[in-house]
Amino acid sequence: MRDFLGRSLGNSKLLDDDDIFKVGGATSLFAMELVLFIEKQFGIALEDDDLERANFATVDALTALVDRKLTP
Amino acid sequence: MRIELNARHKKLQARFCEFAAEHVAPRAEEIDRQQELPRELADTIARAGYLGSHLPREHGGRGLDMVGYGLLHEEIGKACSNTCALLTVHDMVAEVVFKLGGGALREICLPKLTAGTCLGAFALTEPEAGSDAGSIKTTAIETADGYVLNGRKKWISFGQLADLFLVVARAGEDGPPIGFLVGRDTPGLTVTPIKGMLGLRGSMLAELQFDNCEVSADCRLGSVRMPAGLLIATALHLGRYGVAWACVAIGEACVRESFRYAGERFQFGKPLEQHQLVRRMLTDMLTDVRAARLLCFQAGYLRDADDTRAVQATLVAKYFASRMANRVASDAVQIHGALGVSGQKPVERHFRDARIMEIIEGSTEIQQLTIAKYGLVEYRGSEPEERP
Repeated sequence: MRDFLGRSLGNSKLLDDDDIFKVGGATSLFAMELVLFIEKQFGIALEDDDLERANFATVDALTALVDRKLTP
Repeated sequence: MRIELNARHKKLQARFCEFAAEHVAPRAEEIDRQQELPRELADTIARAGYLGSHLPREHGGRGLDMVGYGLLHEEIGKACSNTCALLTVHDMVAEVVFKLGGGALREICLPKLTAGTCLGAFALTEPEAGSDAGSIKTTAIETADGYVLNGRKKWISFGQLADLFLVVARAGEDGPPIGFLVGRDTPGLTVTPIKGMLGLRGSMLAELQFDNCEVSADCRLGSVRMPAGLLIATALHLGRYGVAWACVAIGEACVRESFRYAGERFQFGKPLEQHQLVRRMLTDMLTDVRAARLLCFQAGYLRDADDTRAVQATLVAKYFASRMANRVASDAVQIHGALGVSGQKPVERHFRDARIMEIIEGSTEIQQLTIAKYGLVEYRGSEPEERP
């Protein structure tokens, strides 16, 4: 996750609790790419309730989201 | 790596071509002249299964992959850019309902959208908010029963025809953009036709005025908690793809018309096609269209692979294809001479329609800014900070 974000945003210094929309340079286009990445990389389907900014804002939040979705 | 349509795609392409020749091409000129696309043509398209065609079959679509979807747009677009625009705009609404609508909204709306009993239009642009979509002023104030919309939308494609509008409004006075499905007959909504556009004249644009327009909370798409702009990005990501293929369609139509005319028209004792400068134009036109088509195929392939690079690829395809359509249509008019500007040949209509393509679904200038950002990250590792 960290690798994808760092590569896509061109920000290798992104910390796990950095807000990617505030300091990372993420845009709405990137939010869409992020949804695509998560669904394909982890084989999960994100539902409407998952598409909250809070779930996407940081590496930590994204990891927690994926963990939740992968846990049966 | 094989860059070629498979047997299934070739079969689909042939079917789309046959449909367009029978049902769309004969009406194209009239649609442009009357500035109206008849509802019964939209119904014919719906009966063929071409509305929301990319959606899964369980939701009423045909499950077309993105390459097939692109081929549909090209074949329809070669016959008539306005009819192609209907597919694009309507499908943007269906896409957002499918991806961001709740279960109940999907169950109610998608069957109607795919059956064409309900035509959709995407209402984002405002008089003061075009490229700067983030500055929309239409508001959605929450009430006990739902929301109240106030504001204006302008240049809404098929606003004159649509039954259902996907309206993007600001949550509260200053909140993030969220979407609402608003029926045409909702009290407080006034639809005013816009006529006299340069191109895509049959796309039946309208202005929408919302005066204390009440909508139920069930009609909301997305939420204030969603990443800002995700709803808009989702709609435009599909719309841009459709427009890119619509541009390939214009280019291809112009190339065909131009090669035909160049063989028929004689000047200085020989057909135009034997004049070297005309050959140069024909070569540039042909090459340009094929290059655009390849970019569209790449975007389609990446979309079908759920590859994150599909977003950038779609931007690049739309950017190149829309500029290509203008170059090629301009050359087509030039080759046709006085006939090309007389309205007696389709190239005149293609030229006007092409002009719109660099403005809609993200203007050329917006694409240039956005694509450069991707390039800076890819080739330089990061986007440099802007200096004051």
